[in-house]
Amino acid sequence: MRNTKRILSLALCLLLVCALLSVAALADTTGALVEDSVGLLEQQELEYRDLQAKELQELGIDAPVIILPECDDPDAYAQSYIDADGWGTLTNGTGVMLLLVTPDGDSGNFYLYAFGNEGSRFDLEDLSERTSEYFQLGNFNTAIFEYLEYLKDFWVDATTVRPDLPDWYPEDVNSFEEFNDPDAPRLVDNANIINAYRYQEVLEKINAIRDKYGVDLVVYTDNTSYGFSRQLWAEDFFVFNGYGFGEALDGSVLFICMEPGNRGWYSAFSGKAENMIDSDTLNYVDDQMEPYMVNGEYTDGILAYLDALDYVYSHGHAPKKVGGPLAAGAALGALSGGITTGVLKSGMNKVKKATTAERYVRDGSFHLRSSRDVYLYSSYTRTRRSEERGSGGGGGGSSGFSHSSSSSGHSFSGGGRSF
Amino acid sequence: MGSNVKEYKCPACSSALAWDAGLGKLHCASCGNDFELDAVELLTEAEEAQQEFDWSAYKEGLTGETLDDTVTYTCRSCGAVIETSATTSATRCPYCDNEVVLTDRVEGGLKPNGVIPFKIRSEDLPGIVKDFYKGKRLLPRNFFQDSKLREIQGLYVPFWLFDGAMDGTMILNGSVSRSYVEGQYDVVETQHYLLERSGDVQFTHVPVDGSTKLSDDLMDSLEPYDFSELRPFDGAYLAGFVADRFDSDPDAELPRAQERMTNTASALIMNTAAGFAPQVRSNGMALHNAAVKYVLLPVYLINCEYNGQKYQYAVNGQTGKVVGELPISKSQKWKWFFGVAAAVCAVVTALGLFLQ
Repeated sequence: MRNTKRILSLALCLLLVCALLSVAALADTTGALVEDSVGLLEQQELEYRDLQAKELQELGIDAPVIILPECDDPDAYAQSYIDADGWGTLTNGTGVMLLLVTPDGDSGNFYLYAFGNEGSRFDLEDLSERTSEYFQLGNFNTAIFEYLEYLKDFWVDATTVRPDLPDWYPEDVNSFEEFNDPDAPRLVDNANIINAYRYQEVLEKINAIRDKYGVDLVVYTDNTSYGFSRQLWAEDFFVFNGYGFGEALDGSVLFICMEPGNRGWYSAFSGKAENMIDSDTLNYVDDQMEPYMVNGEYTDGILAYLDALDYVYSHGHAPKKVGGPLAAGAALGALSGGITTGVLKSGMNKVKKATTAERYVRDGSFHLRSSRDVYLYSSYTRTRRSEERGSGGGGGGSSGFSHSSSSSGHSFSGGGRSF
Repeated sequence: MGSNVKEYKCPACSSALAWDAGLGKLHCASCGNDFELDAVELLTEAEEAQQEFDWSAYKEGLTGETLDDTVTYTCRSCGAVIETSATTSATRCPYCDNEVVLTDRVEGGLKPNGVIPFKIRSEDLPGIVKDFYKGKRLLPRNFFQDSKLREIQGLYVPFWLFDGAMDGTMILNGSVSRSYVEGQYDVVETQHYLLERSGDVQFTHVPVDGSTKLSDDLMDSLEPYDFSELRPFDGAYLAGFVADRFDSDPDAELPRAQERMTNTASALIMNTAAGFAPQVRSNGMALHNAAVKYVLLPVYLINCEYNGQKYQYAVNGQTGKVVGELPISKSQKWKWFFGVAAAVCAVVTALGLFLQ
């Protein structure tokens, strides 16, 4: 029994030692990535930038930022730093190092070093140009922030795997010439989300709208937007497949993307169809479609979209909603009524306790003898800026109606939502 | 002079006690209690003894003399002691509207330092009160017909006027914020400061009423008085009016004046740090060189009864300012609420439909 206890104690000690060693190793690899020997950054700024650099590590690159007052041989210093252990091992050694040498923050030089297996993917000339612009902002904290953000965007873009483009995508976009293909299919369900039994119903509705208003209409679903935004892919699909009537390519496309993390739809309107829709009417159309899409009832969503599009093409506006203005009117009315009676009620009682004595201050008798302002500390709150709708985000709200040009240069109007 | 009456107040409810010959005790008709005469006399003497104030330090400005050319009446119901000139007879209490009786055995009160004479004549009051009612949309429609306006009584109300200097140091928490954009983030940077401010300010004639029978809020609301019209006291000013005798001494009322002075001095100090959105961390403002004077200020009290409920209004006898709480008609209130709500609702709905 006593031996069992000893064995257990020994095992526990061993486990404890192993755990401590693991923590020590982890601490070694997660050391500070932003070091400031000059004191250009405040403590909190330094901590935020270090966190930012560590976020980059999670994406697969090291981005150490070293600020030194002086350095005789930056190249040798950088080499020894990069070769040293203790950081960067999480990312297999790929990354960029920013070495800033400045004695006082007013003048100095910066040096960029790409390293590691995939270090050659960084365009140091371009990066150097941008970094120089950032440092001209005059605020070192902001400059380093922008530099690290650019590195992040660059790396995310460089490492995103795009599927092969479909056959219809032109090899040379610049030499592409627009055309009309009356025989191209007006319902392309690559994502296979339309109920087979109702496929014909959807197609008949599309054709009815085309015939009724003299503008083309195509519904296109896919499992990817091929690394492009849903907006650009919808517009390119429309132009490169020869949709649209006449030279102005009168017509529209509804593109529904089912790609995980990029689920949503975008409607692009071209030529005459651009004048048949605006921000309000598109919002109405999307409002009709959204509840179905959110619930996975895609066929019903598309049919609701087509019905709503038919209505706004026919009337030029969305149906007038009495409920909204009435509810707003009732709320504002109740508020106004409450405020009015409150004001009238206050006029019925002129009795109020006096809590101050301004009118009894002897003229010119107030003297401020001494005044001292002692700075204590600074605090920061950071809020991520809201992104434009239509290129991501949750459901509901506005459709983010905008004007744009496709890869071919053809102009469109439109908007969309995510679900 | 009329009969001499000694009034005893009920220790339980403060109503007037009457001698019950059958019981041989003092009887309270209000609460039904009976008291031994010796016990009530002992209590009354103790209360009167408490009214012997200590005129030390800041009270040196008070006259210390007693009034000797006035007559004193006591209310049978609320116990108010009022004074007037020998040529004026008082019949009703200005506070509770009940009968008052002469009690010339009561010693004269403290002689005031000054008095602001009545400028508003009692015959002008109906017009002033009518103006007060004007524009009061929630006043019951039948208020004018159904309300009973009791006798309007001109009353000199006892006030303490406090002078003094607030002096000291305040420690404030302050902050200054600025916003800027940093990449994809909105950043708000807040710099925090500790602010120290020292200063002083002088106050003159901060008035606080010395009557517990009148609501403090009601008397505060009558301000301002023009103290440049303050005259040395003369019993002749009481002719045709009555004066209340103070029943709350300056020691008891000083905290109210001090609170008002502290609030104003603190606000002045904090204004010097307005750019820092200051918040008080510690307030070391204290009153120095305090002094007090006893004055009588002119007030008309109007007692009114409507639907069985009593309402009291006060009119500043110098400026004609009227204060008080008027009855509110529920039907008028709802009419206004629904009238405005319906009008706004209709306009907003029509506008909303038009803009769609």
